[in-house]
Amino acid sequence: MKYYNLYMDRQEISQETHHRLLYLTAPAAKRAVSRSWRRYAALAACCALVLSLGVWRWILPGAGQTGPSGGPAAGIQVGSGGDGAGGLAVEGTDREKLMFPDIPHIYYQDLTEAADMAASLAFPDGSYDVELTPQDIQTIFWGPEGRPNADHPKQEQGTLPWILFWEGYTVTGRATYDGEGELFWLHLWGEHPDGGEFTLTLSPGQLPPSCLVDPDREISDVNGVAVTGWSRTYDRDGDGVTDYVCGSEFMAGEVGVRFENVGSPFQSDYGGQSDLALEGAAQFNALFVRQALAEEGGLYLDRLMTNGDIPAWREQPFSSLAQARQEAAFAPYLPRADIPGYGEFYGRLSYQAGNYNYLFVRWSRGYDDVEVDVRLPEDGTKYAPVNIEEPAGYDVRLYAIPWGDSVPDQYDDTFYNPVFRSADMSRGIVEARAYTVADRGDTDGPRMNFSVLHPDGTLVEYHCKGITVDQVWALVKDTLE
Amino acid sequence: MSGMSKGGMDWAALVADNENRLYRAALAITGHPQEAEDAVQDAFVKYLEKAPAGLENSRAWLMRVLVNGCKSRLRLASRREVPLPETLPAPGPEEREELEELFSLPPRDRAVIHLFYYEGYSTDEIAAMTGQRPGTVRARLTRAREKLRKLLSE
Repeated sequence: MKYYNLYMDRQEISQETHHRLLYLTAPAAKRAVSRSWRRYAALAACCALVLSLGVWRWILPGAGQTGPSGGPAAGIQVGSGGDGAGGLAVEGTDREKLMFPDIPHIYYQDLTEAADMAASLAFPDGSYDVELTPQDIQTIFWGPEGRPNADHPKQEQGTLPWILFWEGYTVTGRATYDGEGELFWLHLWGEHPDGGEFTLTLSPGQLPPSCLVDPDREISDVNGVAVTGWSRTYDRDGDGVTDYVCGSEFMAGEVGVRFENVGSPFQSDYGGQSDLALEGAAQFNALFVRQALAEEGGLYLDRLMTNGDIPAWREQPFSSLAQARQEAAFAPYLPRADIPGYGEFYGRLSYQAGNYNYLFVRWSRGYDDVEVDVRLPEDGTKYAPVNIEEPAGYDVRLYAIPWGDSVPDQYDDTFYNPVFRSADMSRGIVEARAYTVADRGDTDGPRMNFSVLHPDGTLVEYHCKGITVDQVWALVKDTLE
Repeated sequence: MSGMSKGGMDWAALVADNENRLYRAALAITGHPQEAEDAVQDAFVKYLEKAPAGLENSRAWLMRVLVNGCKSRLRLASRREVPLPETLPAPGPEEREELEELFSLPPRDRAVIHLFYYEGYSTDEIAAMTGQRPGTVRARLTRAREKLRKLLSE
C-alpha cells in the first residue's frame, strides 16, 4: 500500500471548499422526520377496519380534508402545477379512494449487506439534458390520449394516476439525449414534504444503464414480466434515522424501468409484516410496478423519444500539442512548445453550442502537472477581473497558509482563482500568484493558478505546478502579442 | 479566523483536523474529486445540524456520516464508474497500478480498505462507523486482501 498511501497523502481538499467549510452555517432547522409507524396509526387502523369489510380504503394523510384555515388540505401540495417552475405538484381528488388489494407480490430481496460491483457507464458524445415540463411528465403516465375522464370515484384521477399514491409529491424531471437527438434516458425525481423520495429512471428499449451492479438478484413474476426487486435498510444519509429503500427494475413493454423509493407517504400492515416502515416502502414501490404493467396503465415515451433542438457539438482528443494547435480559434492562446521535462501530454476539445467551447492541454511529470484551459466565449458568462491596484485581492505572498484563516472575507470571490485582464498581465502578477507547500510525499516547486481574460472574451486558465515563474510568464506573454 | 467558534467549539480547528482525511476517504469511495468535496461538505453540515451535544469522538462521527453519505451518492446518483475513474487526480507512474487494483474493488470494499489501511481504524471501529457487523467488515477485508494480495505484499 506504499504507493496508495503516498498518493492519498497528496490529495487535499480545494482551497475553495476549505473556505466554504470554515464559513458553514447550520441550515434552518428542518421538520423532524419520524419514520415511526405510530404517526400513521390512524391509517393503519383504517386499513384494519376496512380489511374486515373485505375492501381496502386507503386514505392518504389529510387527503380530501380542508385544513382549519380553509386552505389546501395536507398532502396536497400547493405548487406551480402546470407552469413548469418548481416541478409538477401532484394533486389528488377530493374524494376518498377505494382500492381492492391487487398489489402485485414482489420479492424485495434484502441487499443491505450485499456488495456492489462497479460497472462502466458512459454517456454518449454530444449528450445534452432537457428539463421536462409538467406536461411532459403527465404524458409519460397518461399517454398521448391524455388523462381519462371518468365519473366513478375509483377511476377519478388527479394530476397523475391516483393509484401511484404520488399525491403530495413534487415531481421534477430531466431527459438526456445523445448527440443525434435520440433519448438516452430520463429521470423523474419525487420529493414528499414528509421526507419520502423516489427516483424513476426510464430508458427506451433496454433496462436503464447502471453504474452499480448487484449480482444474484432475485426475480419476481408480475403478469408474466420479470421484475427484479431489492431493498435496503440503513441510515443512508447518516442522520441517525434508519431509511427504508425499495427498488425494482423491469421492462414495461419497450421501456426499461428502474424505480427506487426511500420511505413512503403511508405505512401499512399489509402482509402481516412487523416492519411497517419497510413494508410501506415496498408497497409504494409495488403500486408503481402495478401501474406500469397494468393494461390500463403503462409508460409512454413516444413524445419524448426525439428532441429536435440538438446543440451542435464536437469532441476531439489530441495526442500532441501540434495537433491541438491546428485548431485555429484556440491556437493564439495555447503554448507554442511543449513544456520541457514534462513527458505525458493530453489534450481535448469539447464544444456544445450555447454551452461550452473549450480546449485544454495538460503535461504531466510525476506529481507535477501544467494545464492550460482555453475557453472561448460561448455561454455568455461574464467574468469579473480583479483590480491589480489592490494586491490584497490576489497576491498570495501577503497571506499565510491556510488561506482560509488569513484571507479576508471580502476577497472570497477573487483570491483563489483570480481573473486578470490581459492588459494587466506582467511577470509581477504571475509572481504574485506563486506559492509553495511543503507536502509529505509531494514534490517541491512553485504552484500557480490564475486566469487571463482577453479582449474578445476568451478566458485562459493556468494551473501550473513544478515550473518557474519565468516559465509561466513566458506562456502568458506569448498570448499577449 | 482561528478563533472562530460554533457552539463553543473551535470550528476552524475541527475543519482543519478533519477536512483532508474525510476528503481522502470520500475520494477513495467515490473516485470523483467534486463528489468527494460535496460529501465532505455534507458531513460538516450534518455535524452542525445533528451532532449530539457533548460528542466525544468528532473524528469518528464525521467519518461515519461521510461514509454513509458517499454510499448514498454512489447508490442513488447517476454517475460514471470505471475501473480507474478518469476523474481522479493523475497518479504517478508507480502509483497507477495500486490505484487500479484498488478501484477494481466495489465501493464498500474500498471504504473498508481505506479506513483499515490508510486511516488505521480497527475492524470493530469500522463496523460501528459503517453500520455493518464486525464479521461483515472482516469478511470484506479478507475478500479484498485476496484480491489485493500482490498490492499488500509490497
